[in-house]
Amino acid sequence: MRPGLSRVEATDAAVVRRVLAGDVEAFAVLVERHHQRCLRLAMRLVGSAQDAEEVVQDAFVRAYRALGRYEEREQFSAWLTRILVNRCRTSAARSARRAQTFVHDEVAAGAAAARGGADARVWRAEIERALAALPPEQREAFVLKHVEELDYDAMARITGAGVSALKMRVKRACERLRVLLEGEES
Amino acid sequence: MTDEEREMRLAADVREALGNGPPSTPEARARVMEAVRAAGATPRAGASRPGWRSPGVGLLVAASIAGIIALVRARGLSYVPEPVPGINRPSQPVAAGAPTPARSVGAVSDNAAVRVQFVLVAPDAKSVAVVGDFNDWNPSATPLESARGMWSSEEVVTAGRHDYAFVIDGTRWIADPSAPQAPADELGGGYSVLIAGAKP
Amino acid sequence: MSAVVRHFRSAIVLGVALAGAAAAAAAQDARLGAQLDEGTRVLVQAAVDSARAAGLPTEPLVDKALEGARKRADGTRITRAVTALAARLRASRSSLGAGATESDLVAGAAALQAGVSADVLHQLRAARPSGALAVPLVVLSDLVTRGVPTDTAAAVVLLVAREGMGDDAFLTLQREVQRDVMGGAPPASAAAVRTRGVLAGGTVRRPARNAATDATRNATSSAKP
Repeated sequence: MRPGLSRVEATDAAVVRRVLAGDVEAFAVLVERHHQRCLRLAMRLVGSAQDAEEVVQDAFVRAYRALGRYEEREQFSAWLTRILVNRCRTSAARSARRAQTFVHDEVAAGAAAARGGADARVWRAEIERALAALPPEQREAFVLKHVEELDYDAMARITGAGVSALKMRVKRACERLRVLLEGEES
Repeated sequence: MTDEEREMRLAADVREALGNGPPSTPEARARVMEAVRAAGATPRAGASRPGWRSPGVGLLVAASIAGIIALVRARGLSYVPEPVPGINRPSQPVAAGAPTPARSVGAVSDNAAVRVQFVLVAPDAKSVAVVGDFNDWNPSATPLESARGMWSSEEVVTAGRHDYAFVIDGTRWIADPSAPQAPADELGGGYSVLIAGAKP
Repeated sequence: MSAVVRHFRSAIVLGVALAGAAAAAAAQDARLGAQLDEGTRVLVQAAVDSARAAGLPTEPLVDKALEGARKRADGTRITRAVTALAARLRASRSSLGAGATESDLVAGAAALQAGVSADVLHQLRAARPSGALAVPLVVLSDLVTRGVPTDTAAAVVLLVAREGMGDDAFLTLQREVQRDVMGGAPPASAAAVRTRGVLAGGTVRRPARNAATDATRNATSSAKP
């Protein structure tokens, strides 16, 4: 443990200041705090655990490089999420794996099955496929709102889209998902 | 059930089914830190103010160092600038100029040999090496020599584009802060690019 | 590939004027063998052989594997990096044409990795039909990696290329944008301003604060560092 930086007490902003003062290793505190959350979000947006890990690593490196531009009045987690969402978009656009071919995450499906039995595994696969079938903007909006549970203002800051546009995307995403998952017309 | 209630129920189902994503392991986090360390010099504070800033003192001095070195090379002198106090802080190596390839006589085909010089200002480093596609990324192959904290080495590489990085104290990989950057790829990385045979 | 097949193949190849290429291939073999575990080596070798058969440069692939080995990446990651690079080299050649040098192809692959589209590579080739493209491509990748949005970076590089400017103009552009961005300027604005300067044949003075603040406000509202 480095002197002067308690992992429990230092805020993200304090850690950032420490890194900017020259302490590269302090960045590890931010990684430890935000890595899992980022993985979860990336997984929802890019569809495979491998891609998720890569895109999260990329986002952390970009955040590190851009740390001088971080403004403390914004939450570090929101700033980092913005970078991550952006990387996910670039990654999805570049990857040959389009929405139709999301890699089924066998490990996580296994975990879901362990929690809820074989039905859970099937259900999880259905959800993955349905999410993958959404247009990227709708998927992104749905995931940020309902999986990450952000409010619309935070989502607007992260995606650069307006609140009403985001609400529309979430609504459309829900309608589409319902049709895909429950086979019903609303 | 209202629309909103249905939406909430769907959301809860999705959240539960998707779980927490892939687990964040110590190994994965260590890989992130490795990539971060390799990303180059510690970022500078205060770059968040909007608008154009006048160059910080560090930048001015780095530029003058580069200018001096360019002058030195042009005249074939062996002058070595004194380290400037307060600028060359520990663990913040500053490149004093991108590798300057010599001009080759005649057209430079992709196989011609070109002499280039690698330079890095790192007064607190115990060792600096350059690694790249010209030496199989081997940290032992091309050590730089230090003259009062300015590390340099002259090498011969084939003309054309090369990826490279500096390795400090045997373990820390960094990009050349004053060279064009290569994008990160599947290995992380994203170091520096040298075009040997191009005019500086 | 089994040792027997490898041996047989080497025996034939050595007897022919392709001895030079075989020696290079054998040397690559040895370097990979020295640094990679056998499982990874086999996969990487397969990718290298496949690239060679397609007429793509193999040295960048070997270098990539060695880079991974030196950074102690695991075999899966190394193999993925090599195969991904091979795919990008192939795409690079599609866009840049069969006459592209190895440096051009590698620079093109890097640009694709940075997020530049194949179409931009194609347009760059159209803007400079003969001659090396490595420098414009390196500068393009650098701009994007520093945060200039892909379309802006592509636009400025194509602009400079279509003006018929030489490699030194691109290198000047890269240096100046780098300096501006390190000083805190928004990358997109820096790229635009410095391109104007390069096209005008001189260095442009930094713009007045007001204009720059507007540009910053626009740039940071979408905020993609």
